[in-house]
Amino acid sequence: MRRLHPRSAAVDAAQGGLQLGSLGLFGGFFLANEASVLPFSVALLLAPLGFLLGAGYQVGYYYRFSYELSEEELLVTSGVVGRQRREIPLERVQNVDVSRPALKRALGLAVVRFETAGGSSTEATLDAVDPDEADRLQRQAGPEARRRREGSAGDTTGEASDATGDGATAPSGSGGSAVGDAPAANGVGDANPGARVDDTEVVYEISNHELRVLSAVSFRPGAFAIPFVGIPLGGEDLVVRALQFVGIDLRAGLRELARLDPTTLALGAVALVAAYLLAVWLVSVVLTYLQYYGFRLERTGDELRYERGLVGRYSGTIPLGKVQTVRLGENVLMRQLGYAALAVETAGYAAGSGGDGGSETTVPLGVRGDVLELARDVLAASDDTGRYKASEELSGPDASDGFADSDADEPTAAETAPVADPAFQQPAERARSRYVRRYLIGLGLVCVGLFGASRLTGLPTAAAGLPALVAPLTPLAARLKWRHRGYHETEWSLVTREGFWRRRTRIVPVFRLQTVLVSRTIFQRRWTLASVTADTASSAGGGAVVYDVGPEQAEELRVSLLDRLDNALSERRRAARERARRAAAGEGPSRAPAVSDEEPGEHAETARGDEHREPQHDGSDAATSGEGRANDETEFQWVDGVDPDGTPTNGHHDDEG
Amino acid sequence: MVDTNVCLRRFRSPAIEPLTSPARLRNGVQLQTLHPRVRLVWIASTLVSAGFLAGFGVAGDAFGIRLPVGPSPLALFGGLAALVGLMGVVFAVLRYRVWGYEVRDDSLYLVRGVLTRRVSSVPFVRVQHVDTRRGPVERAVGLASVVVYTAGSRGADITVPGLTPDRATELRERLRELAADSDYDAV
Repeated sequence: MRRLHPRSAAVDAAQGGLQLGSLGLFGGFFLANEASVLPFSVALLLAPLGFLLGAGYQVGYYYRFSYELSEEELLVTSGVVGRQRREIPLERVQNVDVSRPALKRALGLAVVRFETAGGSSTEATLDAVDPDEADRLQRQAGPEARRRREGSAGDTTGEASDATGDGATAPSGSGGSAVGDAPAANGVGDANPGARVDDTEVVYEISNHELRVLSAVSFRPGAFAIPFVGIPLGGEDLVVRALQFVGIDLRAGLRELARLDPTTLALGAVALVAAYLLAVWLVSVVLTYLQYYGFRLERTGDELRYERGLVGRYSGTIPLGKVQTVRLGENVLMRQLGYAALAVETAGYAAGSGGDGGSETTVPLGVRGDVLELARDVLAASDDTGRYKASEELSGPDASDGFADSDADEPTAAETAPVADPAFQQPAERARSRYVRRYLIGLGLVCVGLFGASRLTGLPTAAAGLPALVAPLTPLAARLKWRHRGYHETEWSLVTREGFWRRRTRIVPVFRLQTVLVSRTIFQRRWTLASVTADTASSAGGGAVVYDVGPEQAEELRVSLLDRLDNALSERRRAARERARRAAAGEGPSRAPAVSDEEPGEHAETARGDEHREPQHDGSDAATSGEGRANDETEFQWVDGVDPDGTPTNGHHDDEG
Repeated sequence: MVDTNVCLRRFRSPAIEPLTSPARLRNGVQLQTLHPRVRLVWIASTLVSAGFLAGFGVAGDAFGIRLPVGPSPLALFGGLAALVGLMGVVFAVLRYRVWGYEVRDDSLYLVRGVLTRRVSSVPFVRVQHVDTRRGPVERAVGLASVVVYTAGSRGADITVPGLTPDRATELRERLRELAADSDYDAV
C-alpha cells in the first residue's frame, strides 16, 4: 500500500494548523476580552494549541491514508478516528482526472480523482501524490491498460493488434477516420506477439491562433461575477469616473439622479452596462487563456486523454467505451467564424468538468468540420459492436478529412464554408408565438419589478419603462430561438440542438438511451405542444431534449426511440455472443467484425435455442459479418426488416394480433 | 425517419392528446390508478409546510417582531399557511386524478404531474433495481411506494406511490422479473 506524498502532508498540516490556530487565537481573544470567561494567559495558549491540533490531525490523516492500485481494483483506506475502506473495481472507473492547480504544481504535487458511474461526485481522491505517480495511476486505471493486461493473458497476435487498432478500424470499412490514421491503425495482424507498442497519437493540439480565438470568443459564467468583486478593490473609482465622463455624478445621491434628464440617465446606464460587459470579457479572456493553454488531446486505443493549463495543469481520461453522449458547443461568435467545441460525456461525473461554462473540454475550439469528424469517430469507437453508423447528415459535404496541422499554417476557419444542417426538424411554428409571449411576459415582470423599486427607492419611475424599449426585439429573438432549436433522428442516434447565444448540439446514440420522457407544461398544453427528453446516464446536461413539437409527433418519437433502443440492444447482445462464441472456439477474438474475414461460413452453425427474438439466425448473423465490408445498406435493411439477401425478416417484431 | 411499419406495436399507445381527462381510461389507454388514500399522504406533507409557516407567524408575534409595512407576522404567515394548505389540498386532488401507470411488455409507462404533465417510459432493460418504500405517513395510512432505479440522470429514480403493501410487493416482484428477463444492460 502506498501513501500520499509527504510534501502534501506538510502542506495540509500547515494549512490545518493555521486554520485551527487562528480559530484558537480569535476564540481566545473573544473569551478573554469580551466574555471574560478565561484569564488572558490561558486564552493565549489556545492559539498554539489549535495549531498543534490542526496540524496533528492532518499528519495523522496522512499516516492513516493508504491506497493501492491492483489489476482489478483501487483500494483506499483512510480515516483517523473512524476507518474507511473503499474498493473500486476498475471496470467501474469512468474517468481519471489529474489536476495540478497552481500551488500544488509549484510544490511538485498532483491530485488524482477517480470517477465512477454511480453518484454525481468523485468516488476517490488522492490529494496529493507525485506527478509521475499520478500519470502512472491515470494510465493504469484506464481501459487501455486493462485490455493489455487481458491481452497478455491471452495469446494471439490478433489480440494485440485489435487492442490498438480496433478502436480505429472498427467503424470504418470505408473512409479513414481522422482519429485512427496513426501508424498502428492497420489492425490486421502486423504486430509481434510480444510487442506492446504504446501508440498514443495526438488527435488534437490547440494552436496559438486557435487559443487566441478561443479566448476572445468565450464567455465564462464565472466571469460575470468577478467584476463585482473588483468594485471594492478600486473598480468603484473607475465606475464613478466613467460616469462623470457622461455627466453623471454618482456621489450626489439617488435623489439628485432623479432630477437629471432622461437622456443623460440612459447614456449613463448604457455606459455602465458597456463597462461591465467589457470587464466580463477581459476576465473571460484571461481565464480562458490560462485554462486552455497548451491543450492537447491524445488517443491510446480506446481511451482519450486531454491535458491543458498554463498555471495549473489539468488532465483527464475519457474511456471511449463508456461515452454516453457527444455535445457540440458553438457560441454566436464561434458560429460566425466557423469553429465549434466538443464535449464528450461519460457516465461519470462530467468528464473534465472544472465548472466550464464556456469551452467544452474534449476539444475547446476547432474548425467545425474537423470537430464533427472527431465527434463521429468518438461515437463510432464507443459502440464496440462496430455497428454505429454516424449519419452523414451531421455535417455537410465539406467536412475536412481530419485535423489539419493547425500549427503550421493557421488556416482561418472562415475558409471552410459554414456547414449547414438542413436535416434538422424545427419545433412547431406556433412555438414561435409562444416564445414571443414568454419574452413579453418576462419583460412585463421586469417592468413591474422596476416600478415597485421606483416606489420604494429614489429610482425614477421612468426607469420602469426601460424594458419596453426592448419589446420590439422579441419577435426577432423568438425567431432566432426557434430557428436554432431542432432535432433529427438517424438510424443509430438522436440529434438535438438548442440555444442561440450558445448553441448546443447533442448526439445521443440510441443504445445509450435510458428513459424517455414526454412532458407538457401548463403553457405547452395551451399551445398543444410537448417536449421529449431522451435521458442518458451522463450527468452533465442530462440528455437530449426535443422542444415544442406537436403531441402526435412527441408520441411517435417516444415510440420510435424505444423501438430503436430495443433493436440496438439486441444487436449488441448478438455481437457480444458472437465474440464470446468465437473466443470460446479459440479463433482469436476479434472485437470488431471488420477485422476477421472468415465469418460467413461459421455463422451457419450458430443456432441458439433461446433466441426467441431472432428467428432468422443466418440472415441476421450474416448481417453482423457483412458489416465488416462496410456494407451500410446491410444494417439498414436489417433494421427495416429485410435480410441482406432480400428475404424479409419477421424479426422479433412479431405482431401480437 | 424510421420506417414505422416495423415498429413494435406493443410500444404504441393510441394516445395522443394525452392527459387532459382524469378518467381511468384515457384515449384507449388503460392505466392503473393509485389508491385514493395517497391524497392524504400528499396533503399531510403540505400540512407540515403550512404548519411551519404558521409556527413562524406565532413565533414572530410572540417575539414582537414587526415589519415596517404590512400586517403583523401572525396574520402574514397565518395567511400564507392557510394558502399553502388550501393549495396543497387542491394539488393533491388534481395529482390523484392525473396519476396513472401501466406495466407494458417492454417498459413501465407512467403519467403524472399537475402543472407539468409527464409521461415517462422506463424500458425494463434499463432497470437496475426495484425497491418498496414506506414513509411514516404512508405507514400510518397503510400504503407503500415502489421505487424503480435506472442509470439515467434526469429520470433516475421513478417512484410509484399510493399502492397497498400487497400491490406494492406484487408490482416490485413483477418489475424485478421483467427487468431480469430483459437481458439487462445497465449503461
